[in-house]
Amino acid sequence: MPTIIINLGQESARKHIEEMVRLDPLLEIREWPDIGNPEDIDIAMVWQMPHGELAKFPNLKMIVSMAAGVDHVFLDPLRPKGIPIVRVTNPHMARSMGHWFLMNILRLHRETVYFDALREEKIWPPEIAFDTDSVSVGILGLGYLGTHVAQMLKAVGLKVQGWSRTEKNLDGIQSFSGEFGLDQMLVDTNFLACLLPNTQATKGILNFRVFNKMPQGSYVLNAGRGSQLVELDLLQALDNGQIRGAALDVFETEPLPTNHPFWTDKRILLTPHHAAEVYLPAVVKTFLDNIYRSRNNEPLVGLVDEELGY
Amino acid sequence: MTAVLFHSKNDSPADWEAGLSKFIPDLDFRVWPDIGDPLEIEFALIWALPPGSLKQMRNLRCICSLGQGVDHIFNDPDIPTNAKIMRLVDPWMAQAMSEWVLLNVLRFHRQGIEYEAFERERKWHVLPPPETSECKVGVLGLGELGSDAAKKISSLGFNVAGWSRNPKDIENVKSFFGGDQLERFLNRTDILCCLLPLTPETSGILNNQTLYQLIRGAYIINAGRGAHIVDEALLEAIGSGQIAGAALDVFHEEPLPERHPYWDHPKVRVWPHVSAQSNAGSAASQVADAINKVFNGKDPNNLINRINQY
Repeated sequence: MPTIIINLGQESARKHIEEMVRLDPLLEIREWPDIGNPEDIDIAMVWQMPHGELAKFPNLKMIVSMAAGVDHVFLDPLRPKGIPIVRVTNPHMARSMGHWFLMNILRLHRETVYFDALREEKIWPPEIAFDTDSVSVGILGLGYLGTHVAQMLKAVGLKVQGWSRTEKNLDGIQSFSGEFGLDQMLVDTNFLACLLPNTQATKGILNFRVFNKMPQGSYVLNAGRGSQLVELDLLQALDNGQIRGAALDVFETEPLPTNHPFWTDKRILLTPHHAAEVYLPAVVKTFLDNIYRSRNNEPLVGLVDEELGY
Repeated sequence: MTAVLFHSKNDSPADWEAGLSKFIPDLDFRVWPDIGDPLEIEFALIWALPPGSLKQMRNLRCICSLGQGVDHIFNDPDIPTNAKIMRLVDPWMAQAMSEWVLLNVLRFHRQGIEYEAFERERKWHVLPPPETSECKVGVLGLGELGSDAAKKISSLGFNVAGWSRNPKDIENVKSFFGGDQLERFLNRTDILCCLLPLTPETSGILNNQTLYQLIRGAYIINAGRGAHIVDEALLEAIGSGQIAGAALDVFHEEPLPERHPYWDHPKVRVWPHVSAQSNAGSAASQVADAINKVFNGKDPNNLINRINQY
């Protein structure tokens, strides 16, 4: 009897299992670490599974990352090779990611931190006009999520361009690629929005060199992975005024340690890794779809390229 | 000899004179109260001119409001009877207004009150997310500003309806209209955005009866006029849990008096009337066009019906 194993923190795992079994009562799902006989397991649904665990399942047919990123799977050196890995490519998640970027671009552009401070003091400032024309968004990463975010921002009237490993052809969105292309885009970007996959090539990409290519007083938003931002470079760029503010959803260490300077820095808006909120009933349907596809030997949705790592 | 009168406490006369002179080189621009011969004034570009001031300008042919609203003009019982009344329809104003509305819709939808409190407490905590397509946003007023906002909110995946005096045909925006349908419109609304003009009919439209017609736990966003809301009723409805929070940009009295309970209320976000300001740069060509038409005996665009007052 083929069986699914799931690891996702107790409360969340239980909710996923309940919803999956509600939709398909015939599914047999075990919650890690109660794995029973490892030979029963044909599908592993994982989020940051401890390294070495996946190697214990000899009959594994598919690894499901329960997030948009798969870096947590690739980081396991003992991971069984050659087994298809899929990630979540769900329109609800993409929309939620778009909302996070739009909300935070607007929080920065419309100076909510400044207005919150005025409100504390009950101060009514002189008239201020905000100019949409001054906003130019540059998106790093034009994959499934990045493309969706770019289109959403454009639809509400913002100027958007994007950069990715390979050049993309998107309607009304100028796209760049390669290192030279990145520099070209940065010259005309004052809101840099990162949703790159976590690979060797993207590690530390948000650094001093990149910040200095942008106009002075630009903003940085990161919902990719924490390791893509060089945290000290950001603090330094904020101090010297090259970067005026940032919105961060992901961090080198998560949960963000209580003594981390970002918590109290008024120039940084932060959220607890929830940019792409997962609406459980919707995402569970995409998991079931891939489970049936795997068992029927049909093409999988959100299949990851083993060599590229995303 | 024809002249243009200018008055506003918030807008710079020098910027407007420079902006208009680009289109009308021989412009005779007079800033209140130095108006010279009142009979020479045929066009008035004003915001909140003291009532009674226009009476002496018997050759006045057009009064242009410096903002989207014209209620400040109708506050003057002695407007010369032959003068037509128009308002600015600045496309950048609609964009700026929609941005402010989107920011506040997303902030409420994404549980911003809760997450911003977590951030202050350095608490890393994720809440179950609401589903966007099940969140019903209602836009009160579907004029230039309201319809632009409604379209953009809808493009983010929300379930959007609007209420206006007459039926409107906007893609993906359900239209409610007239006094009879207001209650049904409110009955289906989770987030209410008020972008109405202030007229005798809309004054106090959000009161202790209508606020309770919304879905329990609804949010209020007001960028119309302060007088659309009965403040005591809103504070009571927030206290009882009927209303979960409010973002307010306009008030009965501005600046908002220091003793007003809105300032310190944890569920009320006070904004100092910054949602959308007209800007001399982008609006000058439109006003210059109106001046030229009026001086040549034609009707300008965006005229106001003096009976409906909008």
